[in-house]
Parts: sequence; C-alpha cells; structure tokens
Amino acid sequence: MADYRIRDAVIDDCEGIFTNIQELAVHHHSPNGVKLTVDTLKRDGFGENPLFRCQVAENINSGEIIGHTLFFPFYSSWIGKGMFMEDLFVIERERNKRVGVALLKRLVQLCVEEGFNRLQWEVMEFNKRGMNFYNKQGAEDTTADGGRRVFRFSKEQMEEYIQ
Amino acid sequence: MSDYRIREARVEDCEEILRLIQELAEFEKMLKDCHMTVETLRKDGFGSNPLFRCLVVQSLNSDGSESSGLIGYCIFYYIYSTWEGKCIYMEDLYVTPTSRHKGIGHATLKKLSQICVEEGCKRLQWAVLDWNSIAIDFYNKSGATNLSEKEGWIFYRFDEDSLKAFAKN
Repeated sequence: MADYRIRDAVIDDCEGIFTNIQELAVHHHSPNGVKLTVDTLKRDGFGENPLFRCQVAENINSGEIIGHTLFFPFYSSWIGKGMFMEDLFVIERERNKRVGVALLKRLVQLCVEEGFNRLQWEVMEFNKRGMNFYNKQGAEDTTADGGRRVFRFSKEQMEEYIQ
Repeated sequence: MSDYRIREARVEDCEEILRLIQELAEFEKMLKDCHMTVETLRKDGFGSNPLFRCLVVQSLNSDGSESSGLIGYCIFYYIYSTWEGKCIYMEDLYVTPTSRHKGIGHATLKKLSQICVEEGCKRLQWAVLDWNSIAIDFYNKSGATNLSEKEGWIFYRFDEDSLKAFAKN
C-alpha cells in the first residue's frame, strides 16, 4: 500500500508547494528565478478567480507535500480547450516510487472527465530524466525549441493512458 | 480619422472570427488541422467561464460606422508562470492580407500590451512559424525577444519592461 495519496491542493498546501517550486527552479539551474511568494500563490490559486489549479502528492504519515502538478487551461483556435501542465515535480528522496506516474495519471483523468482535447507541457532539453519519463508514458514529443521540448497527449492518448 | 477600430469581440463576431481563423490556418498550411466551429467559439469564449478573450479589428465606413466583416483578430488567454505569476499568451494575431501595411498589426499588439500592463501581467508570450519571415521581422522590430529557434515554432516574449515600453510607445 502506497504511503502517499494524490488529492486536489488546498490553500494550506501553499507553503509546501512553494518550497517544491523553489527546488524545481534549482533543478533548472535558476535558483533565483522564482519571483513569487507564498502569498502570491495563495491569491492566484485560491482566490476569487484562480489562475491555476494544483494537485499534490501527500505523505500519509507526515502530511508532507512530496510532489505536485500545477496546471491551467489554454486555448487552441484549431482544437479548442487544452490543459497546460506548468509543473510536475516530486522531491528527490521520494523518487522511484511511481509518485510521478500517479500525479500524471490523476491529471490526465481530470482532463478526460472535463472534456479537454489535449494535455501539453514542456521539458528542458538537458532534463534527460524528465524526457525519458515522459517518453515511457507514451507522450508525444512534438517540437524542439532551442532547449525546450513540447510534449503532448492527444485526447485518444489520454483515454488510453488512464486504462 | 482611422478607417478601422480595435475592440473586444462580441458573441455575434464568431462567424467572422472563424472565417479569419481558417484564413490564418490556410496561410500556415495547416487548414486540415483546424477543427474549430462557430458553436465551440461561442461556448468557449462567451459563456459563463470564458476560456479565451479576443480583440477584433472592425473596418469603418467613411462616416465612422462599422462596416460588416472583420479585417483582423487576436485571441489570447491567461497563463501562469510558477516563477513570475500571471502572464498572457497570444494564441493568434492576424490581419487579412488586403488590410496590411496600415499599422493594424502593430496597433493590435500595442492594445494587447496595454491590457497586459493594466492587468499586472509579467509577460506576453507567443509563437511564430520559423518560415514566417514577415511575422518574424514584425516581431523583431517590436522589441520582443526571440527566445530561441530550432525547428517549426519559434517562441517570442515581451517581459515586464519591454511590455511597458511597447504599450507606451
């Protein structure tokens, strides 16, 4: 039985999510890249007009936020509504327990339930581990943009992924 | 007196917006990938939870009244950067070929930049096809940064400072 669970984020998770956002920035060689604060996250994600949604992986015993996805809808004038995954992150010491797969699967389920036509995200080219992970999940690497690779699940791929 | 007006789209504009979306898709040689319909545009853009916003360019008669048909449009929506916060992504910017070289594209981009500044957005971001040299020249002249190019899509961005400069200019 897994010692973590995946659930929708609540406002009290913001401190934990913010810590992980900073760790993710360090991974991307930009330790000073994060200009946000915990309060900005709370206002932008849990206020009157949320600009993003978030799901977290929570350690059942300690309550620690060991991973998260952060996502928001985007719009394609060709295919309509899609979901953009801005962050998928699992803290280093909780890796290799399929927490990442569980987070991605839960988000894909949400996209299928809510009628999104695509789930899209980007990976930096130097992030070989990330790219291997996404290739293994069956996502399509659509374009390379000077160090950024755009990955995608189509509607059919999403339906297959959650089987 | 200008012979066009840039304004927020209304639900009645959807037929015309779709016509221009298809014109742009044809220009990008990807018309077969465009599955948009008027019903989807209406539901997604003008329902209770709009998924996008749209500016349209309306041509004006000599007496200042709106003539039928649109000559340009711009679709955009909020995105979120976990490093900087609220940003806007420009999905489409298009002016019909017969209305070009009047500064309409520039005026529309400027209007969108003003919206970004007014709403406290940290970035305005968009993509261009790498063979679209007219668009690339246009965006380079605007002062936006060409983030990078490898193949296919090129991503552009105005950061906070260049947004303010462009919006004011």
